[in-house]
Amino acid sequence: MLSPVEQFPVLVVAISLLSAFTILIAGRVNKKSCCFISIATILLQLIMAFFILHHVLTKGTIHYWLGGWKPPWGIEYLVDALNAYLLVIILFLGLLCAIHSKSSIEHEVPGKNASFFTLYQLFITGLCGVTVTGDIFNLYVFIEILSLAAYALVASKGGIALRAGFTYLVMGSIGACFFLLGIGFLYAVTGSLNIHDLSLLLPPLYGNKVVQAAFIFFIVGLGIKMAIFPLHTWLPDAHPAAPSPISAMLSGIMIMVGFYALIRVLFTLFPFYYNYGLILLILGLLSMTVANLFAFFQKDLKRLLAYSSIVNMGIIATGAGVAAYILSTVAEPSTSPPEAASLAMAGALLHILSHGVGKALVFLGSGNIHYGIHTRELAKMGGIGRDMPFTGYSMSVGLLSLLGLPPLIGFWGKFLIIMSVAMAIRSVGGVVMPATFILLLFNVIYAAAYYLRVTKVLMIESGAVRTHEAPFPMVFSVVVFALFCLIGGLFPISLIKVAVRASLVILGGG
Amino acid sequence: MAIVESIRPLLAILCPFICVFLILLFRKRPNIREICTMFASILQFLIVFSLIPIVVEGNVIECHLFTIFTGLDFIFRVDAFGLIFAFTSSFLWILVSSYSIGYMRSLREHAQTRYYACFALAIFGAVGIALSKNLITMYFFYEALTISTYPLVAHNGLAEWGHKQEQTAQAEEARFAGRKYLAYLLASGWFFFVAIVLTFYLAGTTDFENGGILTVASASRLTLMLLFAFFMLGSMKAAWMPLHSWLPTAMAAPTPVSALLHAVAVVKAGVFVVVRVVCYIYGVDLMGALGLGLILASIAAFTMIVASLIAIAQDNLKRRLAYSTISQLSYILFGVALLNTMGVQGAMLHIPFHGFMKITLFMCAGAIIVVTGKKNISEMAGLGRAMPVTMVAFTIGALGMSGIPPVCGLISKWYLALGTLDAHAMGLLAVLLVSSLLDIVYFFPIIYTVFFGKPEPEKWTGGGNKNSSKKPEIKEASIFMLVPLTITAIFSIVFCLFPNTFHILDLAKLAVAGLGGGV
Repeated sequence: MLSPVEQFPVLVVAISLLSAFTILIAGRVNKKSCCFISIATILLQLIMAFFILHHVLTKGTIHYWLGGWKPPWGIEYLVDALNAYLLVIILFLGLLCAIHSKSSIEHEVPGKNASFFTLYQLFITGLCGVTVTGDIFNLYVFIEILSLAAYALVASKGGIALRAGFTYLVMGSIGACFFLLGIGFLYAVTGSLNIHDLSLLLPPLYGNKVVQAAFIFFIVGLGIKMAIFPLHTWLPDAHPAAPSPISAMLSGIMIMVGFYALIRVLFTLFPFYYNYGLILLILGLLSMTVANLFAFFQKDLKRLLAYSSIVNMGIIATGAGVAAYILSTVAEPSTSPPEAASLAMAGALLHILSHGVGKALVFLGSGNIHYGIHTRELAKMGGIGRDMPFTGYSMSVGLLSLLGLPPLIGFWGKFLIIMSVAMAIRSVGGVVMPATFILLLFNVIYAAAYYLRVTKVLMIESGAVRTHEAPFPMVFSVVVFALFCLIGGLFPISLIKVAVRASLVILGGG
Repeated sequence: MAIVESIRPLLAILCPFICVFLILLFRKRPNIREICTMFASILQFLIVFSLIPIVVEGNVIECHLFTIFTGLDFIFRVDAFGLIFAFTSSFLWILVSSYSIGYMRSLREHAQTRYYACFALAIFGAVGIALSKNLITMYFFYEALTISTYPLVAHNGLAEWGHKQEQTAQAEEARFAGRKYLAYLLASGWFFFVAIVLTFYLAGTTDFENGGILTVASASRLTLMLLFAFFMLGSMKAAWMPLHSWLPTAMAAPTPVSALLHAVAVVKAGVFVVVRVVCYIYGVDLMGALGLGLILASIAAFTMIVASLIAIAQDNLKRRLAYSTISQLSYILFGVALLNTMGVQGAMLHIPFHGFMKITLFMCAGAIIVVTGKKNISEMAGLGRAMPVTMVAFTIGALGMSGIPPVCGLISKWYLALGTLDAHAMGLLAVLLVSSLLDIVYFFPIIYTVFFGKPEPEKWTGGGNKNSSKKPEIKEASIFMLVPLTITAIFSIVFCLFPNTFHILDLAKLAVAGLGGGV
């Protein structure tokens, strides 16, 4: 008999899916009810996610067999520390963005309340589904659900957004095709779709050309979803075009879910085999270096933030790459991974949280500014923090957190990654680690230049008084995020512990 | 040496931190808000004071918070040297708080809540730096200090919450000062971070150990020297030349802030870091072996002389004091660079002593601004008769800076001079003496002007009541300002006559004795 908490993974997905269609119907009767249904659902999901996280940390992994079919025949929902950690982040961001949407949607996409929240709820369903499932085909299905919802949401403003949405649709579909082909190849050689089962069946087949092709397809397909250089081209168009809460979700967590899918597939299916650590590392370093150069010259606030998302994706990929690289240099795969590897991965996972919160905060904040003065151009925002003090100060906190300034939460993720690289320089040897170290530090300070520039524009430059503070739900979201940045940064130890647990899961040895 | 586990260091650090929230809570009730500040400062001082007897007996107090990963803990540790800095910061916080109340109210400054909150945060940073056990913990507070002092430096340029930004020249200047301050110190923080990571990589730990954690075997000579360069760039807060220019610019801030920057928190944190790095990361032996002592001494000597020369040319009193600070800070670097008992002890003593003297001078300068609105020395002729207490205190501070008895500057300079003799460095002794002479050259004209110059009261305008057409009466500043500056002046003398007040001399001796090696 399963305990109630062990039923939660499937419930999290199921109620979200049901709620999406409830909203569609309720929207016909009463437009105002849509956002409340959505907020209530996500709140419920968030509470469940906390229970799941607690259960996973104290009692161990949850296995749920859909319909009672045993794997590898049936679909298995598998929740360990990593999934549960991500699930909580997704729903935490999702909740605050939904609250923000309550007011901002009226402003950004007027009259489309019902369809917006339906799509939003589907989007959340997809995100949750990706994290809880233990079946690779099911993973693909949920990625498609969230991507389809995201295409529509990006295009929801119409006009120029349609073009951005279409680009995104084309790129995303190509990525999905690659991913699906990869899954097909693996199914052709093994006959299984369960990730755990595949990890047992694959090792003898690593030399097989089909498996190697699948490996490449996974990296390309999911690389597009997570917008890593040079597959990032859709992102700087799509993210600014979307309504602000959606930009926040896309940048804050959606690309991270792509990253999660990638590391789940790579680390579980191909441990210690192909040297994908180096691939991830190089892609990550390239992403952050190139995107930083672009970000510096952006005049549109949301576009700048979109490039900054690619930068942070690069940092996270670098963290994972470092972990994999260190693992690949260990001669004997022992029971527990080296400390530097688990720290690098923990840093990457912690950075998912800190970047998610920070980036969602500044995107929502840019939505508040758009609400006030109808522009996204930095040049016209001089001193807007004076007119909208809560938004202004919160955004400053978010920008400083993204910059990685202690004592804000953004510091800890970068710090763990940099420290682990420093530890690895000696233990691993070669030029890769020192080069990574230098590039990381260079990028940290280079990024500071534009984050500080934005902060200066918002808070210090002078400008005429034009507007006043945005409505309460919009302000509430940004202030909560800002407080989280501050409190999480001051008391990071429990967060670090969870991240380390999650990293041990993915590296083996948890 | 016994290690005592105690929560008291944590409490001392949390005092100002909790105070920040109380200040924000009572933003609408200025009197309660100020009482919170005073109460927290006194409480913090008592806690720090209660640590002194334990440390003087040769113990070390530790408070372990959490471990990030092997070799990196978040941990506080009270040793003799750290305690000197913590004591100075917490004692002067009480006085500056009282002074701030007088100053801010007399001038009817805006955004006082933000001011007091940031002030408490800055003290949080300073005491945290003093009581950190390793570089990582210290870095955390080091950056907190940078950020929290930015709104203070740019105070005149940053409008109150939700108000319109001012466009006056003064506001522009303050904003510029703030930007420059942040640019210098954030860049510096980055260097410091890189240096910390490299240290961790080379030594496997970042704990401060007597005698240092790096050895000749840790890395190549070049690497160790480069690392030291990073540490020096990371301590731009110490305002050594040629990277000092943020400090005179930051004079755009209100005077109590200048006092905080110059005497208590920011610059002292900078030199504190240098001393920590030299004595507890590198160790004097390694410094000597690498020849870094000579390089540091050259930087310090250059700064001492050049800053004093520039100070002579300044007519603005606060700017002159700023250059004096730059020069005096280098005395501390200078003492450490001598790498012997006397030199290091002189440096450690100069931290509190210079703090007390410089804060007296700044508080006097602020009192003059509040009462007369004058910032230039040439306009202060004859002021000594109208404000005798203030100007006598100023004179005491100035005498101390020049090393004239019976003020405490003498003690630290005496040890520094002994240090140069021990090091057999006559050239450095000459630099020290010339610099002291220059101190006299730039301070005595001020004293002469205010006491013997011909007063021109018709030019004096009240700082506080800019709008009133009535000629203000020139008299002593408010009691809130007068009492602190009198106390610091008295203590400047007490520390000379009885250097062991509050066990400061014992602490310095203890800290030096623990260094071991070639000291």
